[in-house]
Amino acid sequence: MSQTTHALPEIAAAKPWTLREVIGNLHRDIPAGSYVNVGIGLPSLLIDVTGEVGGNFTLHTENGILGIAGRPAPHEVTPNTPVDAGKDMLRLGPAAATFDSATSFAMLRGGRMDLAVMGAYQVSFEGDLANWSHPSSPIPAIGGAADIASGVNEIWIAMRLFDEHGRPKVMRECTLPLTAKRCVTRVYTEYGTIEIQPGGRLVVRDVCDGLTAGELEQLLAAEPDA
Amino acid sequence: MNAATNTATPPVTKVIDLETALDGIEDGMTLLVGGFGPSGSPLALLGEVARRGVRGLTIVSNNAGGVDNGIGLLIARGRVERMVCSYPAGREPAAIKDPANRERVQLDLVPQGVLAERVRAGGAGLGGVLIRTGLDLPYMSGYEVVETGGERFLLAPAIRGDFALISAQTADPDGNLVYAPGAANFNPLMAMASKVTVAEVGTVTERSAFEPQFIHTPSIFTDRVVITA
Repeated sequence: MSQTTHALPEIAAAKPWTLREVIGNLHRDIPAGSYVNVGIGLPSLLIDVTGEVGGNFTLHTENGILGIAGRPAPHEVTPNTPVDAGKDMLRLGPAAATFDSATSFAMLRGGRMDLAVMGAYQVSFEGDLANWSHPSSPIPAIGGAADIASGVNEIWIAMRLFDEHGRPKVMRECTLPLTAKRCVTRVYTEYGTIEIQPGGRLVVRDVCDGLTAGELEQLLAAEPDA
Repeated sequence: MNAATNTATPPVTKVIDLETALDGIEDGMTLLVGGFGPSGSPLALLGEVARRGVRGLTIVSNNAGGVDNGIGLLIARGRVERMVCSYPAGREPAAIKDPANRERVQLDLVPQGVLAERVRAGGAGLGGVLIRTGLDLPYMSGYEVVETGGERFLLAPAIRGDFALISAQTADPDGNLVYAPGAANFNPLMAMASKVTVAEVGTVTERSAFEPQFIHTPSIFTDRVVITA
C-alpha cells in the first residue's frame, strides 16, 4: 500500500501512516481474549497482519468461520481452502470451527462477538455508519454489514480519512444511505485514531507524525454542516 | 405403519445422474441456492438449470454469481426474473452489473443475516422471525414493525423454495451430508427450506461411513445427490 498525502494546509506537515500501519494500530488495540469479526476491504488486512505477528484474540468471518490464523502459503492451497467475507483465502488456526450462516449471524447479533471491524464510506460524529451504497458502486450491496453494525456492541472502522473530493469521511451528518445508526465506537485512519463517545464527542487517541491531536480535532470540527 | 410390509431395509440410494437430478423443475419456480461467492456453490447444478432452459425463475442466494457460470449464467441468459440476495456482486465481474441485465432482473436486497434467518424460518415451519437489523432505516422499509416485550422489531417473513440447489464435500448414499471447512454457509439452511433438495457433492462414501454425530445435514433434508468430481 502506498503512502497517502493530502493537499489540505492544516495537515501539510503530517506523515500519514500506511494502510498497513493503520491496521497495525488497530491490531495493537484489540483487547486480549476478544472475539473479533473481520469485514471486507481494508479490515481484511487484519487477517494478514495477525497471520504474521499473531494475536491473543479469535478472528471470525460472517460466512461461517471462527479461529482464523492468517493467509495460506501457496503450497497450502487446495480446492477446499476456505475464504473470508471478501472471498480471499484463509488459513485456519488449531482451534478453528466452521458453521452455517444462521449460526454465524447468531454470534453477531446474539451478543457474543466483542468487536467487529469494517470499512466505511462515511461515519458521523454520532457514530452513524454509511458503508453499503455509494454513487461509484455499480450495484448496491448490503451484505452482512447491516446485521453486524446493529448487532455487535463495539464497531471499529478502518478507512482512509478523506473521500475522493478531499473531504473528511468523519462528518457531522452522513450524506450517503445509512447502514446503522449510532453504532461506530472508533475510527482508524492514516492520520489518526478517533474515538466516538456518546453525544457525538470525538476524542483523538492517536495521531501520525507531524500532526497533533488538536490539529486533527480542528480539521474535523471545521467540516461544515452537510 | 404396516409392519408386515415394512420390515426390509432396502439398499436406498439418492445418488442419481446430473441429467435427471432436476426433473420437475419448471418455469417460474423459486430456487434456493447455497454458496458464498464461489465457496460451496453448486455450479454443476446451476449449469444444468441453464441447459434445461427454464425461465422466469426467482433465485434466493447470498450473491448473484459471476459472468459465465452459476447464477451469473442464468442472469446473462435472461432466465431470472427476481434475484433475492444480500450482496449481488463485489469487485469481481458479474452479469448482474450489466445494465441490460439490471433492467430485466428485479433485485430484492436482503441483509445477509436477515436472509439466513428468513430461510431458516422457512425450513423450520415458522412464519417468520422478529429482528432488529435495519430498524427505522429505508432499506428495511418494506418490513412490518412489531412491538413485543416493550421492544420494537421488524417482522421478516419466512422464505421457502420449490428446489434447493446445494453443494457439499461428501454424501453417503442416504443423503447425509458433510461440508468442507468454511463451505457450509447457506447450504444447510437452503436444504431445509425447499420441497426438493438436490446436493452436488465431490464424493459419496459407503453407507454408515459417517459418524452420526458429525453429520452436518441429516438425510431427511436431501432428496437427490449428484456426484460432480
